[in-house]
Amino acid sequence: MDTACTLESGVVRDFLRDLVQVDRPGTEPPLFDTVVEEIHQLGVEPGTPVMVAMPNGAPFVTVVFALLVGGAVPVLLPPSAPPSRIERMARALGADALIAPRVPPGPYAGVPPRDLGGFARFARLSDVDTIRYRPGEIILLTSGTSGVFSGCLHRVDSLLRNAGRHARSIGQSDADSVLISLPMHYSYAFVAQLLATLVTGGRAVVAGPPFTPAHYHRTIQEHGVTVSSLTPTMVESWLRAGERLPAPLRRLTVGGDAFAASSVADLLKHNAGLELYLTYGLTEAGPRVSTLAAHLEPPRRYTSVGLPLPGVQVRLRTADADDRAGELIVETDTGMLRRVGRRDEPGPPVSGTTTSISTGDLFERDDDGYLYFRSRRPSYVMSRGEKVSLKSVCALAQTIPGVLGAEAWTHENTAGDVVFTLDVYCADPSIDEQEIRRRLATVLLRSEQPARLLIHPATHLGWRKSAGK
Amino acid sequence: MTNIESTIKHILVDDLFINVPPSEIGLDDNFRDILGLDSLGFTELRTQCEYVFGITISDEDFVPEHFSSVRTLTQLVSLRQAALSGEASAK
Repeated sequence: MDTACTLESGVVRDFLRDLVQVDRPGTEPPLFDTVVEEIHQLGVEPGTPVMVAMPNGAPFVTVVFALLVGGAVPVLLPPSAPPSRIERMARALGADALIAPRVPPGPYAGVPPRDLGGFARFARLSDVDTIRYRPGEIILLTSGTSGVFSGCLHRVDSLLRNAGRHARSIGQSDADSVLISLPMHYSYAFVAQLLATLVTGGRAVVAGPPFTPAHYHRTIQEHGVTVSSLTPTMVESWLRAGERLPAPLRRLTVGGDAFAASSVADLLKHNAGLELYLTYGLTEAGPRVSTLAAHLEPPRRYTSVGLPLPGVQVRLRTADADDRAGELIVETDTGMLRRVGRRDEPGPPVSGTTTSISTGDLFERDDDGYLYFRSRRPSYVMSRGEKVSLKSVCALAQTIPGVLGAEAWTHENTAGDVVFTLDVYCADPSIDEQEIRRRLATVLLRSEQPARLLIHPATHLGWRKSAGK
Repeated sequence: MTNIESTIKHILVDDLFINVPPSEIGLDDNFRDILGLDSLGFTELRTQCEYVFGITISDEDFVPEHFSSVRTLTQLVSLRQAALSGEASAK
């Protein structure tokens, strides 16, 4: 049964007191009440969107919870977001306030950037038409699903509810120490790890990149980690290293839609007693949708992402009544309120408290209701562990002066990973690859950049479509 | 500033497109906290250092202690270069 979900200062204070920061020996986390007061003194009013571009760590958690408790609306950005990206996000979302460890030189309104808690800077950007949201709301970006300059507006209480459901689906309790090493500006780590640990009363152990098997092993042992989440890529590197997962780790969750059944079998074979949960979700849904407790299932189910969480309904929208596969439609009371960005869209269909989310992902379902991921919309690609909108990348490349057109296509690299190549058609022959890469890097994250970039004369535009790939 | 420190700063700016001029990158600025390096950024930094300095950085050395700042990475590169020189002179 779902319990009431609210963010209370006392609970947050206790949670932060127990939080562990890996790689920060001797570092005291910022005092929550002090940060709440400083944010208030900076003139941040309830409903104000505030961009937070900070790395994993106690300061990130403190700032986000302090903003929420004060009624502000955090917008979670990657800490690696280049300044141009931040400026464009600010305009798209109507957010003129920024909190980051380092604020680059730029046009700031009125006063210069100010210190926040000794660990970050607070700045107000000029020329931004601010938008007011409502206290209790938060904006989460997707890794490409909704395009580069938009986000999903959620209510925090529904995210807390989703977090509680996730925790129950993997048996997480107040006795667990949870390693949060995935980036917390993305919905999975923020909700299914950070908020799930908060609502269950467990202990958060926060780490950041780089990830290596040796470092991961040491972190689990040194900090008594019992629950961890890894990407399929991380697990593959772990399996290649030929090591067993260390004690006291008991529960591991992995994104199931991109995880090979053979890797599931390998993990379970070499780690007796491990509880392995394969998960599926998307930011728009709040984000968690389904879970497979792989250690309790026969091998034929290792390609499944399991059953929907309690409170979540799913159905398949097929093109033809006879089709086995169809687009997964998720009906949940933890769905986003609406997508926000440069072109605000109407919210998704709502029936009572339930929102209907079209995932764009093609699934099949067996007679017992287990879900099997089949493919993703062709305009998106999982590139180097992140979902990337190829359409957005092409559109951005085409804004570079001298570029007439851009086309992206996916392929496998020598390691067998899916990557994409960007064909750029230039009217200006003096433009070279480095110049295009430099320009793209001012707005794209590293994971969104093409593995290969090929320059072509403008007269060749469209040749690849006619020649095949 | 040593050649290694200067080269690492230029790798950060020219190859990893960190939006900070080399002159403004402090020796102790944390790659993750101050310069915003993400997991792919760390991987690229490791690869570029291996290529530019002609060294190998093992998984054991690819840890936050060494990849924390220009100063700590410079120390690692110096160690690996010294080890290589030692191996060469022993042959």
